Order: sequence, then structure tokens, then C-alpha cells
Amino acid sequence: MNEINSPILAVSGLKKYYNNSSIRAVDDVSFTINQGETLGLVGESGCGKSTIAKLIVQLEKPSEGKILFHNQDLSTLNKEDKHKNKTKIQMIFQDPYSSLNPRKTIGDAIKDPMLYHQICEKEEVHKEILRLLDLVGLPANSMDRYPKDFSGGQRQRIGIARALSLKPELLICDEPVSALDVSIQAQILNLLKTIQKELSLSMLFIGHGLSVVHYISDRIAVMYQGKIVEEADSIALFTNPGHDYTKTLISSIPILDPTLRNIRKA
Amino acid sequence: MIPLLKVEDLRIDFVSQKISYPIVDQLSFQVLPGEILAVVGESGSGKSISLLSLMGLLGSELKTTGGRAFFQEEDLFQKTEKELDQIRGKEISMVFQDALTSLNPVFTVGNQMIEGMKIHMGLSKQQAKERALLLLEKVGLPDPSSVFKKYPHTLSGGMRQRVMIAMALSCKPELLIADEPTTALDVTIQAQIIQLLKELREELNMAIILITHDMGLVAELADRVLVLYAGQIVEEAKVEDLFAKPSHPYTMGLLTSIPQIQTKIQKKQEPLQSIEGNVPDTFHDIEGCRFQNRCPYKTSGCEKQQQLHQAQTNHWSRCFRYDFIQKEASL
Ligand SMILES: Nc1ncnc2c1ncn2[C@@H]1O[C@H](COP(=O)(O)OP(=O)(O)OP(=O)(O)O)[C@@H](O)[C@H]1O
Ligand SMILES: Nc1ncnc2c1ncn2[C@@H]1O[C@H](COP(=O)(O)OP(=O)(O)O)[C@@H](O)[C@H]1O
Ligand code: SF4
Ligand SMILES: [Mg+2]
Ligand SMILES: [Mg+2]
Repeated sequence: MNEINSPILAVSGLKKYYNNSSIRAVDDVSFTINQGETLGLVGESGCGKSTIAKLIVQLEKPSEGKILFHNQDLSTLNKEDKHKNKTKIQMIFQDPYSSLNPRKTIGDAIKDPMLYHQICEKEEVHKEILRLLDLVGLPANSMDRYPKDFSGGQRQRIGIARALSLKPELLICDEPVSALDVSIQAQILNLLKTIQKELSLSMLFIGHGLSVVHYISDRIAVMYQGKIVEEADSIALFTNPGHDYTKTLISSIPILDPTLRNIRKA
Repeated sequence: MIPLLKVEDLRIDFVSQKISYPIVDQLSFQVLPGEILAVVGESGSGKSISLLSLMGLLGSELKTTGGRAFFQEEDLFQKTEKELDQIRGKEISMVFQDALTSLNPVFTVGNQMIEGMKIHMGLSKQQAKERALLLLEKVGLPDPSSVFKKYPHTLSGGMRQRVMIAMALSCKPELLIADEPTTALDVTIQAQIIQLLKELREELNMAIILITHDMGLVAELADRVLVLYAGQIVEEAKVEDLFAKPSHPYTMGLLTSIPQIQTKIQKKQEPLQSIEGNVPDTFHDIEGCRFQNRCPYKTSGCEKQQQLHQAQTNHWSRCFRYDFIQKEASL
């Protein structure tokens, strides 16, 4: 997308083992994400996708390997730089239901982290929240309401507004639309794409739905049993898949035409 | 053919001390033996509670306030709790939407599976165990004997979902009700489950009600489709007809919202088509068509209450413009 293509994130030799190395959740993974680019990450359930996400936002510590953000190793930063960097990488979670505190109004849920990270002046906060709500397509009166008043799709918009409030440069999305209906999925995907362009965000987009990942990503990495087995341009991956697992993935996509199903199985 | 399940004019109300209002109404449909019926529609449209109501499993604030339901010609709403228990364990089994909360946390997967088979199929412990392991393998779990010994909370979401499916199939039901059975699964596992359900339908002539919002799954598996919106059926058709000639604007929106994989080097289709807005929270105070606040085809006449119109043989739409919509959809 961007002509300069300087990597904003460079992951190399990343490993995460659990249970005294008996579970190799992430096993020697390397990839880069360029400025303004979206990298899709797909793969079998349990292959380590969410673990990679957690390592990047530092919810977990790697067993081995490096994560460079703007060429800086996140694990070696001092406390102050860490605090500064925390806002620049934000995550949007799979489950829009459990990721919001039921006792906080939407306004507070967005406001608190902004003040904590000193993103904007106290006097400005109100205006900023209104701007964010508008950006994600929610009415201004959402501010004083609680999560229970919102549908799944709306909650996901709130999650996006909250992530954006900290002015991130890199957005990690872990299956942000899997729990939503197709018609709402389309709304959220359009929103993410528009925002990404407007703010020139970089994104790591994890998903099960291949057509969804294809739609949103510039490049796609395919994971299998803790390793990345293939990485390609998001169109080339489907026209010319290299790895056997990628081929299996593609041939397993349901075809949206009931008249073709018997032909295909033959 | 005598329908396996027949539902007539079902109505479900939300009832509390302060207020009550309908959540599902005018719901009629049937399922033939061996048939796969898909129920699709936006979340909150009433898919899950309609089926829970038939099984006598509604929560405390929801009441079945009208209609009748027959399973093998017997009136389900006249059954005692004990009789229902019998039916639920054996003839009709259900895969619930939330696989974690519907598995018992204090028993291992194996114990939960064996119990039902001992009671309902009269199997010995050893026979039941063999069958359990076979089923765990059939739903694509990599190491059946280790899963057999595990407690539900140590399994990943996708694994739990597969355990639920195995368990639901264990007593060879006549009717399987599966509520969003593959949402947490990747496409390769989903394809295995689709294959398994097809085989079982062939082998046992088992009928399936598949609740989902995944149109790909519908296209692969269903014989017939019901589309629900705001507590009502808005379209009913054979699966080929629904995809070829959607006759309600909501169905059309569902079908066009799905991203398609582009295999040519060209600009990707963007933005995706979507149905703007949200489902209304309640619909009892909406006059006329319940889809009108989101419908791009709204015109005069939409303020009137909509009946199911016959668009073709066995094809129904709750939109008086069905003819026009069909033409639009084929463009
Ligand atoms: N805290 C933990 N302790 C032990 N094992 C773990 C832990 N977290 C993850 N794992 C294991 O690591 C592997 C990778 O898990 P991860 O959650 O990254 O999968 P995923 O690719 O996101 O799967 P899904 O598509 O189902 O979300 C799995 O085998 C999982 O059981
Ligand atoms: N236990 C409950 N108490 C009150 N309302 C409920 C309950 N369960 C579901 N509802 C309401 O009933 C409607 C239909 O819900 P549901 O059948 O779960 O939808 P679907 O399965 O189509 O997503 C929704 O408006 C929902 O809010
Ligand atoms: S009746 Fe009118 S508003 Fe309703 S679906 Fe048909 S065209 Fe749209
Ligand atoms: Mg995950
Ligand atoms: Mg449901």
C-alpha cells in the first residue's frame, strides 16, 4: 500500500512454550508488517494465532525471539518508554460481550484510558469522545448508556472507538467479526477499512473466515501447528496456494451456491 | 409424508411483572424425516428461543403463549416434564449455542457422554465408551482418548463445540437441533462436521434443524430455509430457490453482505454491501412491515402489516413487493 514500506513491526524467531515446553503454542515465527499495511493471519483452531496477538501487546512474555516496533525491542524498553509505547499498539478482541465492563458507561469506558495515558486534556475529553463515537457510527447519547443496551455489532464499534481513542499506530484484531451476523460483519469490516485508510493504521487481522481475511488484508500468513507455513499477497494466496494446508483451507471454504455442492464433492 | 415436527402459529412473549410483549409470533413450519431445515436471521430475531420453546426450555421470563407443536404427531406442549426429558435425551437432541455453559464442569467429557447412552440406549459401560471414542473421532478431535478423560474447561472453544456435537449424536436422535454449531471452528473442521452431518442423515435418516447466520453453511447443507427477522418468518424456500431468487429485501441483504474471494488481479470489491442500521429491540409497537426502517425498497404500502405471500410453489415472502424484489435480485 505505502510506497516507502518501512516495517512498523518486525517479529523474528518468536516462540512461546507452555507447560515446560510440552506445548509449543508459537514455534519460531517471523513476519513483518509495513506502515499502513494489513497482514491477515489464518490457521487451524489452536495453532497459536491468539498467542501471537498476546505476545505483541505484551499480555504474555515470549519464551524466545524478538518483537521490534519501529526498530525498538519492546522487551528491553525502560518503564517510561514502555508506558508511552503501550498506547501505540491496541487490540480489538473477539468477544464484544465480555470485553466491556458492564458497570461502566460507554463514555467512561473510553474516557478512563485516555486520561490515564494523558492522550488529551481533561477539558477536551468530552469533545474527543463525541468525535470517536461519530467516527464509528454511534449516536452521541451512547455515552451515558451501559454495554447491556447495545447489540453485538454496536459493542464491537465501541471496542473500536476505545482502541482508537489512544491514537494507536498498530491495531491487533483477534477475530473481531466472528461473533457477529454477516450483515453486521460487513458494517464493521467497512468501518475498519475506512478508518485504516483515514488514519494510515497498520493492522494484524486474525480470523477464521477466509473471505473476510481476504477482503481486509494486503498479505496473508497461514499458520499451522505453531509455525507460519506460507505467506503471500492476499490474491495470490488464493490463485496460487503453495502449502498443502493452505490448499486444504481453500478447498474447505463453503461455496455459496447450493447447486454446486454435489459437483464439488465428486 | 407425515412431518416429524410440525409447528403451528407459535407465539412467545416476554412476561415480567411490569410489562409483557411478543418476541416471536405467527411461526409455523414443519420438518420431514431426514430433512435438513436451516433457520437463519439476525441475532435477536428469535431463532434460539423458538427452538428452546419447543423443547420446553425457555427461561423464567419467557412464555409460550400460543400455538401448537407436534413431534411424531404428539402434542409437545401437553407433555409432562418427565415425558419431555425422555424425548430430549433420545428422540430430539440439541447442540446449544454456548458450548461451555451447557457442558457440566464437574464431570469429564467421557462420563457425560457415557451416562446418556447407558440410560437411553441400554448400552453397557464398555459399549458406551467405545461408541463415545468413535464419535469423538468422527467430529475431528485429534486425540479422542485424551479428550475423553478431560474436564470441559481445559478444552479450547472449538474442541468443546465438537464434544457437544458428538454428545448430541450419541443416542441416534430422530431430530438434531444444532444452534450455531460451527461458529468457533475453522473451515477445515467445519467441512468435516458438514460431511459428518450429511453421512448421519443418510445412515439414520436423521432430520436436522440448523440454526446459523452463515449462508455458506446453509448452501452446503440445507434442503429448505426459514429466514427470521424481528420474531417472524420473512421468507421460506427450498435452498436453491432462496439463493437463486431471494424474495425479501432482508434475505437479499444477507446474501449480498458476504465478502466474495476475488481471484483476479483487480481492485477488490469495496465497500462491502451491508444492511445499514440495526434490528429493532422490540417490534410490538412497529406498524406495518418490521423491516421498513432498514429497507432500501420501502414505498407506500409498507406501512401495512405484511402477510406471507406465495412467490412460487413452496416459496413464501413477507413482502408484498416480492415480485419486484426477485427481479432486482436477479440483476
Ligand atoms: N495459558 C495456557 N496454558 C497452556 N496452554 C495454552 C495456554 N494458552 C494457550 N495454550 C495452548 O496454545 C495453543 C495455541 O492457542 P491459541 O489460543 O493461540 O490458539 P488460536 O490459534 O488462537 O486458536 P483459535 O482459532 O481456536 O482461537 C493451544 O494448543 C492452546 O491450548
Ligand atoms: N431469557 C430471556 N429473557 C428475556 N428476553 C430474552 C431471553 N432470551 C432471549 N430474549 C430475547 O428474545 C429475542 C430473541 O432471542 P434469541 O432467540 O436468542 O435470538 P437469536 O437466536 O435469533 O439470536 C431477543 O430480543 C432477545 O433479547
Ligand atoms: S414490505 Fe416494504 S419495507 Fe417491508 S420488506 Fe417489503 S419493500 Fe421493504
Ligand atoms: Mg484465538
Ligand atoms: Mg441464538
